[in-house]
Amino acid sequence: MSNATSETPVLETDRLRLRAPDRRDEPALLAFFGSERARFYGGPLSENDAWHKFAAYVGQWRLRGYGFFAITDRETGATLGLAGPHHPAHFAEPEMSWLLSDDRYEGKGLAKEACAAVLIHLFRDHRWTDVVSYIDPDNTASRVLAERLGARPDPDTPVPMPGCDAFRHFATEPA
Amino acid sequence: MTGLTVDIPVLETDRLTLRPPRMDDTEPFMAFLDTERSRFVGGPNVPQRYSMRAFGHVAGLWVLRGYSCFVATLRSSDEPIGMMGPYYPLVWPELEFSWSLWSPEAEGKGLVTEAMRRVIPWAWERCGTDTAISIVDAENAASARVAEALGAVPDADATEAMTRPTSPLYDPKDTSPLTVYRHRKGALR
Repeated sequence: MSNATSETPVLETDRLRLRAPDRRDEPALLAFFGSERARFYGGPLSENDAWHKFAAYVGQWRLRGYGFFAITDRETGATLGLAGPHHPAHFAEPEMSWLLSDDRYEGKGLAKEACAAVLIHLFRDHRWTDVVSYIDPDNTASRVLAERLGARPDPDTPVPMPGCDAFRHFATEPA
Repeated sequence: MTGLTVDIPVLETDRLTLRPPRMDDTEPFMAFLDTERSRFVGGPNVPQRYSMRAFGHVAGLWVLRGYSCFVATLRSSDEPIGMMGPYYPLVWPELEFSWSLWSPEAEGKGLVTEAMRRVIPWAWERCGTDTAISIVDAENAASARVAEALGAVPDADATEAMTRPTSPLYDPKDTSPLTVYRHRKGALR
């Protein structure tokens, strides 16, 4: 009998530890997807739907070898959100996505710190040259963050999420 | 620095290899969900975002629970033919031994029974329990035969509990009759 094992990366920043999501993150993510905060992420969802979504995010690491990182507090270990490449079967390419699971984590630059670490990881370790983000026009916070991360509007790329705008992050600034 | 390691065994039987789900399995899985044969597992006509979730959460359960379903491939051709194993999502009455074959060509050959006879002894150990259910639609005669061949017996109390409005799986839009079969450690045939 042989075994299939997989290891997942851990990224560290000044305030954060980013690791593959697991059961420790379930309560925070189920609360998020059940709340009005999840309105740009297909929510609010029932507990059952929220769990299926979360479990599929966890499973993407096994199926693709990359996925959402859980954003955790480096000191306390608390789950603060998710950041990473989301890549369901009907997306032509992976989408760099992020969320903070609770209002109280906003306004501190935590999403930017997490996303910057993930983007560096994708460009340096996976050698991706660029990655897209699909952002709802009403999600001002995410659009502002995408722009602060250096993403540019990419109106020509097909968008699998109806109503969203495409932004593209580049490993090096486009010519 | 690396994070968690997931340990998934690869099990073998005379005709099958039972291995972790892979991304390229989504194609035959989604083709199955598009057919009438998926009617006992929530299909057909499943929107694409849900069909990916239906496959992805099975892979995620390996991480979240430490056990989940295997994809069975034919040893003769490596062709994936279906998914089976211990299944216990968040909202579910208890641990289920679950199975589905993705193509009609794989039916009627005893492949599910062969796979589950290998999986069940492993699952008692891995899941740390000595009882499980299989939820079988009343019209799904093929699955009822598998459950019986494995030594599971209809459990009237569990069946009745599933159809109560308080059941986590109660769906007023879907009240098609079902039978809950009970597996017990030691009863496997």
